[in-house]
Amino acid sequence: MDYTGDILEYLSGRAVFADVRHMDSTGKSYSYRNGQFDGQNTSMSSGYAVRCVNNSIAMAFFNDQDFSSIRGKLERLVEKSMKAGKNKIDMSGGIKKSWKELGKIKVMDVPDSQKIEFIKDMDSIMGENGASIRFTNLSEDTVMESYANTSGTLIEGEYSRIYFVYMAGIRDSGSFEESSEEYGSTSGYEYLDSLDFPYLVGNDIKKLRKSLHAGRASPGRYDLVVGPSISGIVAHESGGHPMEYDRIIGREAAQAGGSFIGAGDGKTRIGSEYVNLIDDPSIRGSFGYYEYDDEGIKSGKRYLYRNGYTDSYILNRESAAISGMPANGGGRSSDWDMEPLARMSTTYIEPGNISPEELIEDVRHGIYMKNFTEWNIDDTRFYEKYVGKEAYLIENGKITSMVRRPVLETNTVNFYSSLDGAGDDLVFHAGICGKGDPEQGVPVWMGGPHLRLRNMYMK
Amino acid sequence: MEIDKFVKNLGKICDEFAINVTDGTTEEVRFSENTIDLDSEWSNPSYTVFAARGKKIVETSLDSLESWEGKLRALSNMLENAPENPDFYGINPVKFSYHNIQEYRNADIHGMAGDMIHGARDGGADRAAGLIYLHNLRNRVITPWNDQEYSESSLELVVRAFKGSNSGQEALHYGMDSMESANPYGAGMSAARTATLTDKKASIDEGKYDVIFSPYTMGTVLSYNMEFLSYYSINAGLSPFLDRAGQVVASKNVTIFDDPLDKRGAGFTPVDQEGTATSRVNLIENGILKGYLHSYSTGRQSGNQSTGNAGIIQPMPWQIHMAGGSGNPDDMIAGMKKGLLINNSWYARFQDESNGTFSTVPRDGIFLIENGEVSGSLEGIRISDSILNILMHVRELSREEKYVKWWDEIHASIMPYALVENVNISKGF
Repeated sequence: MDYTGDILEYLSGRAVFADVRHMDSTGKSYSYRNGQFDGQNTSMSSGYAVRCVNNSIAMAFFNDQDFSSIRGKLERLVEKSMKAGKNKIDMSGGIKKSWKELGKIKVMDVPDSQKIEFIKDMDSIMGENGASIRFTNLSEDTVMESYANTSGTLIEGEYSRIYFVYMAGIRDSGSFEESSEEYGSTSGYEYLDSLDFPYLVGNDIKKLRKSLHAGRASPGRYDLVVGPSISGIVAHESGGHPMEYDRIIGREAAQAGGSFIGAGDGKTRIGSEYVNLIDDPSIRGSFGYYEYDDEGIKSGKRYLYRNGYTDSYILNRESAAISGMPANGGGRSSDWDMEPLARMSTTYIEPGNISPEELIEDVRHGIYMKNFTEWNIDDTRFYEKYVGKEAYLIENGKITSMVRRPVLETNTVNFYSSLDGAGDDLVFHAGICGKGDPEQGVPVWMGGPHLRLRNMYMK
Repeated sequence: MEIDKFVKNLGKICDEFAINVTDGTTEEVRFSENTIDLDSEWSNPSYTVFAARGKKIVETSLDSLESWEGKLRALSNMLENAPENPDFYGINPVKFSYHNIQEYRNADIHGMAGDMIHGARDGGADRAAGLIYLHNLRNRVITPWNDQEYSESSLELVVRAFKGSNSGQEALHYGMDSMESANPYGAGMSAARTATLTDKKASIDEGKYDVIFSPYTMGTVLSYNMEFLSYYSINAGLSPFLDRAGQVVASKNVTIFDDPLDKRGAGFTPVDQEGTATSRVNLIENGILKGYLHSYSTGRQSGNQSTGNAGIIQPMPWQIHMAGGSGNPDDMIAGMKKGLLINNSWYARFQDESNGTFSTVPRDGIFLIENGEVSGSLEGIRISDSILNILMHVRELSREEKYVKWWDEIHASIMPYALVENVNISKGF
């Protein structure tokens, strides 16, 4: 029994604005560890997130199956919304649409044994290449979601997501290196055939083993070429997060933090003309793909940084109303029992027009940092650190010896200002982005091309 | 009762099971820029069901037992087709008895949020952000051998106060025995005190410094590292504490234990996820590693007893307590020639979990101390070190301990101020 209509009817005379989101999700996950099956989990979850706006904004989360108990919760919700607080919200509506992305090979059509076989194979590949510590996990979620509000919007969506993550560690002669990688897609199980996972995983571990015996680069100034996994994490951490408008207005200040971008800053110089950074939820197959966000707003491509300057913000209904701009499809919540926040989806640095090889050819004394292990960033998304996993010296335009764990510790403006070339390639990686309290992780892609940065201090 | 039918029929499809049921209400008020943002309430049950047939295991999360017959069929199918987990050694068959249902506690958390904002403003802050949680939950753990039930009420206060670009933060938790002592106005004041400690900016070179870790900073560092004491991590071969039981892993000043029965904290947990009664578990005593966290299964696997820390497959700490000493933070500052005071830190990430090598980003009050006084605030630095190095260099601990819990960064824990020598500090260029 769906009570969305009853809930909206109850609230329509009692709220300035109200919306109801109902989600029904089913998930499975499978784990392997060090050559043996580690376990399997399932989840079945459904419920309502109801938001009521009067003098302030209040939300109630419940999964009751009869309207008499729901009515009691709605009474309490209305009462809470009468207290003083912020109450601006984008009340736009009138859209009736549905969308679906379940892929070609539906998750329910693939037997558990096949999924378990996949992670077993990945575990074996890691083991064959010398990893003594191995964790793999494959998970899937299928979600049916509806969103309706008192302004007449009704959106129905149905989608499935696949997520594969592994971690491997190699020891040799008292030395240790580790690697973690994540892959994901909003689609079906054809995703596992869309990439050459045996090669990707095996090659990663092979390179990890080589790095065990590599020497450290001398600290100093280098030209730096970074691979797509680094341009992706940089785009996400120091491009996407600071342009989430709820952070800019302090809404996340006590948790995920604020932003070095101020609400009244206007177009702010971030870096060189090569800096074009996009967030686009509408990329089919991407891990964070959606046609309509969790607040019933159409998704679309947004330039967060354009030609080296800040451009569009990521807005949910609440932050949009405070900014005076319309919501732009950035309202996401990880499940039915979470509030929608301004979130990224697929965030990437736009490719340029020269090849990665050409980027390297023009470096006399440099480091090529292909990917990373440790990373972090301060809460305003300004001071950041990336430690290389697979990395090499560049001498006179050629990649030479491998170097171990080079450290780039810098700041956002220095990173983007040092950028003097973007490759013509584009690769995405998956991740789970955390924000909000209770903390909610939403699936994202992060990507970009190879990038060249001049005169960076490397440790 | 649906739950009784579910339990009875679950017993027919597996050899052993553990059902964890949580029901009740959680309320939250969030605020920022000195104004309430959102008032939320959750009132839904959750069921976590672990089932085993021999060494075949499956776990499922449900938020309703409606149509439970179909859910059991799905569970049974997964059990049928699963490979065995050779590391599973059963659910604790020992009979324990715990039944403690108390009245829920009410609190005007909307008013308390206002008090925190006023405290921060009166303390000199320009603006404050934060939240309050009030949990009133009833928990039940059912296994073939145990059926235990308890209620718990807890409160969490988080306030971050800003003065210009400086900030301070308090993030405290309270259990049933301490909720009445919560002082939101005082928490706001205290956060503002940190934010307004100095308006001078300072800078330092990279290098080794003596650092006063506040309870929040130590809480972050230990929250990220104490899971390495789970036997799951040890058995996987990924822990800086691997093969170090009985050895010195910290300075003699360091005593750390898991303290799930402390009702003054929100981490109070009288029974674990398989119904084993919990107790204080000594982890590091005067610098010596005493042992690891176990479920019944990992205990049997390794020739140990359960420590009451199931997670059946992955044992976990409930409420880590680092024992305080006899010092106080004012004296630590006064006795410091040149060093740092770090009030909070976040975003710990590892480059080497085997050796516990990580960095974390200080925030909410980072101060340079020179000649016994705060000489300025810092930004853009990191603690870039290893957990073993930090623990080995703890020179002094405060008598004062705080019940700290913040977001997913600091698990409910009890921490003192700690003066740690030779901490590696890095910064950006």
